[in-house]
Amino acid sequence: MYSVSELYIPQTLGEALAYLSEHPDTRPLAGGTDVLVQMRAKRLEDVRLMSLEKLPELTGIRCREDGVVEIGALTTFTQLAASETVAQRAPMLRTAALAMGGPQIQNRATIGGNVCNGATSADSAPGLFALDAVLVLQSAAGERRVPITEFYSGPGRVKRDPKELLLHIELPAAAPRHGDCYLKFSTRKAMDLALIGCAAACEIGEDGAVSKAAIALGVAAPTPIRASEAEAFLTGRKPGLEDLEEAGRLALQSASPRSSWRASKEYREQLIRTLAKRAFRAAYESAGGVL
Amino acid sequence: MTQHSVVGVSAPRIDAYDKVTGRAVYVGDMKFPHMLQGKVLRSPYAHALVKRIDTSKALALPGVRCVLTSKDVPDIPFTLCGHPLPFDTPLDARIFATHVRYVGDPVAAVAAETREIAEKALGLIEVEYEELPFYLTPQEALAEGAMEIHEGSGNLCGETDLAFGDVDQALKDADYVVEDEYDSPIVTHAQIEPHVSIVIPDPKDGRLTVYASTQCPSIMRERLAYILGLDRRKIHLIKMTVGGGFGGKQEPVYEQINCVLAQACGCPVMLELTREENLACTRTRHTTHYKIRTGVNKDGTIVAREIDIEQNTGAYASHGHNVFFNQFGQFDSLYPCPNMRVRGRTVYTNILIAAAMRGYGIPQYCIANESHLDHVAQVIGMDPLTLRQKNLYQLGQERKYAPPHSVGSCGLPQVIEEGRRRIGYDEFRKAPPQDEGPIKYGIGVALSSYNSCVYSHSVELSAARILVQDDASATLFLGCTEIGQGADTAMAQIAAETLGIPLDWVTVKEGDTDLCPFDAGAYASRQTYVTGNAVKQAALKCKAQMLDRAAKLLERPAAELDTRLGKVIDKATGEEIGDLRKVAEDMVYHLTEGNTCCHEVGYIPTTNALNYAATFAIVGVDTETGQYEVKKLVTCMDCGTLINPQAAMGQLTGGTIMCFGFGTMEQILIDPKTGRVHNDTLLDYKIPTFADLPPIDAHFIETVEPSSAYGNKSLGEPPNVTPAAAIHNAVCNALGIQIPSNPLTPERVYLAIAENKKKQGGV
Amino acid sequence: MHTIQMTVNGSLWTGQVEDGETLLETLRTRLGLTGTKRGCEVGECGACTVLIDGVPTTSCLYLATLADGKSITTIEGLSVDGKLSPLQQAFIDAGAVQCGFCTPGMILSAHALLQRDPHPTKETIKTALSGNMCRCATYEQVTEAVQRAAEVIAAHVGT
Repeated sequence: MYSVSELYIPQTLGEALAYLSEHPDTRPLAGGTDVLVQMRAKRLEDVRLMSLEKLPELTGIRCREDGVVEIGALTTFTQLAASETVAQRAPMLRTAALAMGGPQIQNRATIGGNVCNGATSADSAPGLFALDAVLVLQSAAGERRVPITEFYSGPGRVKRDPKELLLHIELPAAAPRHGDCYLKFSTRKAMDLALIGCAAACEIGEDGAVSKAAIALGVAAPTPIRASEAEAFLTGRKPGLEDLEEAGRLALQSASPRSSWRASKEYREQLIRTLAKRAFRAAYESAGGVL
Repeated sequence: MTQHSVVGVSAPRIDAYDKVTGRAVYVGDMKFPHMLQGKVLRSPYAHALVKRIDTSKALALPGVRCVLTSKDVPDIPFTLCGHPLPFDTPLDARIFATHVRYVGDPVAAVAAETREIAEKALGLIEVEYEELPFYLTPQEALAEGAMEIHEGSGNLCGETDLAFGDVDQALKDADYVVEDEYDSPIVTHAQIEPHVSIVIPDPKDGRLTVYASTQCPSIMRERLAYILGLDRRKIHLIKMTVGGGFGGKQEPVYEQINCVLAQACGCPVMLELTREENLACTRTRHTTHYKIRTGVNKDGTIVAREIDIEQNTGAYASHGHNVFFNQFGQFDSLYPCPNMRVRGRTVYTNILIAAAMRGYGIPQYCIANESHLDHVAQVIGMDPLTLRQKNLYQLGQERKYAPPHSVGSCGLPQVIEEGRRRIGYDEFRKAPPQDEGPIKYGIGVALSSYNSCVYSHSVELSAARILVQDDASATLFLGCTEIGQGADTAMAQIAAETLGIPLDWVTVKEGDTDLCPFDAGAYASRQTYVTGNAVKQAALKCKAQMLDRAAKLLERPAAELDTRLGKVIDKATGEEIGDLRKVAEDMVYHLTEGNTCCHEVGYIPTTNALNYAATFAIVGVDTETGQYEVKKLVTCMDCGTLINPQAAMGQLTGGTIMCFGFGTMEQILIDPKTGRVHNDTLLDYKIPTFADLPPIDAHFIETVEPSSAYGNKSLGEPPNVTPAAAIHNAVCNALGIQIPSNPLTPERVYLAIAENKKKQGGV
Repeated sequence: MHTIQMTVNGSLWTGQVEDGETLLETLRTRLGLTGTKRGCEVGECGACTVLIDGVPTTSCLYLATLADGKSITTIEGLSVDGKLSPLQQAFIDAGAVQCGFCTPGMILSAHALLQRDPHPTKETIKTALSGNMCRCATYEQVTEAVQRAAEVIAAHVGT
């Protein structure tokens, strides 16, 4: 039994936003796989919950005519993994979805919940960072668009106004020659958190030179981050093995991993170097690049 | 080998139907009218004195029925250890502590109408503590000036120093002396069923009916009566379906608290622990520090062996030093040596309580010793398997030192040969796979021996009663317990085989102390070995009585008759000549000679058979991350003759995977600043999931052990011994380094690689 | 409190549940369906897995109120009139049961797998069941059971 003061189930988005305006202390409940666990772990009492289950505006994955892919906030990881649209645009999001928890969790956990929960270890975050995803939020006052790279404000904290709901996530249209890769490093192969998660995305020109490089890291800092030094280094290059090594080293410059009982700083640094290098290589190769 | 009809057959488990349909009743599934829910208030400090407790606010909360602290309950010091009398570890525990010794030590308990109310009430109990210095390691606890965790103990719970031959001289004379240190982690049982009990007091006479998830009903009954200061007849223990034990349910954990709650409330109380409590506040395997020295000659002959075993038993003794003795018991059984010394210290600290866990000291001993042997082999430039084989126990060889039991069967050479062939040991050694980028390959081997009971260290009585009904079906009453390992089915097979009836004619009633005879319980891999004999002997008595009756009915001498699958047969020809059901019917309903057929036999073993195992592993190690993949894991075991091959394989593969967890990922981590357990969830205490499985090739070599009912030996625990060590040795082999601790998390492997590079003066 | 109506193992159930009540609690205490086990209450062990509209879900992380209008299958719903489903039978035949505490959840996850993939590979089985922890580690035998059940179902469908 969770200590819940009220569980409100709005039937329309309007009802939901009105309720949030009236009760900004509300915790929106998507899949519940984070919120409920936190309520138990932190012994939160009398929590006011609003279930988003009945809101169709928050569901579905579609590719717009302009090539932008919209992923509804309530999309579960199972749906994300099964989506051909996602697989076309960003196969690494499928990898991330299948790396998250276990099947039962994937069946319930949503991409919106994963993002709004604000964890640096969120499996969806590095991919969305690397793709420069844009979050579309809605409150009774109107709509707001925020790049995901500006959304996180600290461990477990995001810039969602308490009166807002995340409606969907937009992935920009893909360039013709693009590739990506997500590598999750964890002790176990299921039911585990990333010690480091790394997503890489790249676009290349006809000549194989990198026209756009993105490397994003989870658990490498209090929030997910982009490894801009490494990206700058790779952009314009036709990378060789040495360049990848260098990119791995540079990725570390953007990161500030800490020691915890889960892993030491020294080890996380090594993982950042290695995963950044390997993820970018895989992304480059899937874009059609040849080392 | 005699041809059997029921033994040796992969019969479906007799409890399987109920378990696949959700009908099996675990304690947590039971409901009684007016049943309350119990909760335990635990110390937030690793070491402190309780100065004051005020329970008034908690008591005032509507729905709370009682709040108990130390002043409300018997003040009888007891040992948690789940062994039969006499007590063999210090009486150092109380129901509630006033001197708390670990984070989680119970100081009070509540019974209330709901879990939620009980939990809320815990928050209303005011406790004032005086914090004391706390010690998490033996080193700290034994340091000069350290405070005593238990008065008069000097923080030592047990100490032993035994030497045989002349170790010092042999070490001096040896060509090489190799020395290593090793640390094994704190790991825990993590049964998926949390610890749970229901206690129902009888208002008529105060007798307590205790429904428990326990491995040892007989011992639990004795111990609860002792703790509560009651006559034993005042406790009726009923074991329900157990959702996993692995040693953690061998002893009273919190059942005594539930008893006092029920006594105080006068109505049924359920006390079910949360997952977090299960992981942080129940029992563990001893984290142990080893120092091992071996004197070895150039030709590989080991001339002296010396081991120092320092066990951290945590806040209370529980099984304490007995776990050391078990390791001592195996020290010379595999690699006998004329000169050896074994020193052991078991030390109190302020961490959660170490107790019995599947393998009882041997998994950690094995990984320490087998990784050391690889080092020895490296030093003298010998193949690790050759070194082992050169020093291996041979059947017929006298066991000089550790418990001098005769060895009746030994499949050791066969398990090694089988494993060697299956893994392709020689091929790998001759031509190890090339590195693939950062991936390096390695091979490892580990051997073990394992007892089949605790004879002659401790009481080993098991009894069985068999009631043959008037249709020749049989009811088997056992104190031996089914905890998931398949004991009920194995016992039923032994009974059916011996009686000569089909398996489905046997019903097993076990774990109810009002109905069933005494049995020390499910531990030490003893049940099929010890209770199996009791069952067989009781069945033989029943069979003799039935054959006497059959002789009269068929007018043939009993000596010419036998039974098989419910028929009376001609012993010589095997021809069916009668129906056993008719015999049983006649036995009961005969007008003048009618009688019941029920026999009980208590059995105590006179020796202690050894199980042998060899595990081989091949791994590929990613040297950039320290992550490795077990490519092949071959485990071969001699547990004598198999009673139920399929169930036996379940033990072998299941134990192999549990040991894989021990070697590669499991560890309880404690915050050095507070003594609190960091990882009290199954997300952070990592037991292997389906996705983590290594490819396992498990194989039995069957021998016939003469001291058991049907040639069988221990099986439950030994599969959980060698796999971790074999994987450890394979990883170290791949990297050409020693890693003196487990679990081999990728981080530990990577840091060892990095340190080695530094030592070599590399980047 | 909310009044909900759900179909449990084919039968309609209507009743009141607390706002903070989990489906696990409702099933165990209000419906007496104790085959669904409580192992960790935070969605990690998988012992409380049930099927909600056919989808494996840890019922400890699912508020009962949200089950309104849904169809729930628990382990008690897999056998009909005491006759085991092919999967349950295969668990017995393959020796895939030890202590049995994880078994109901394991079987329900496997049941859902066979519904969507009648011929799963070993790898698919491992992935589909990776959210069901078994400390007895009967994983090898469970894999075999799922494969056996797939064969039995295929043979049955074939006839």
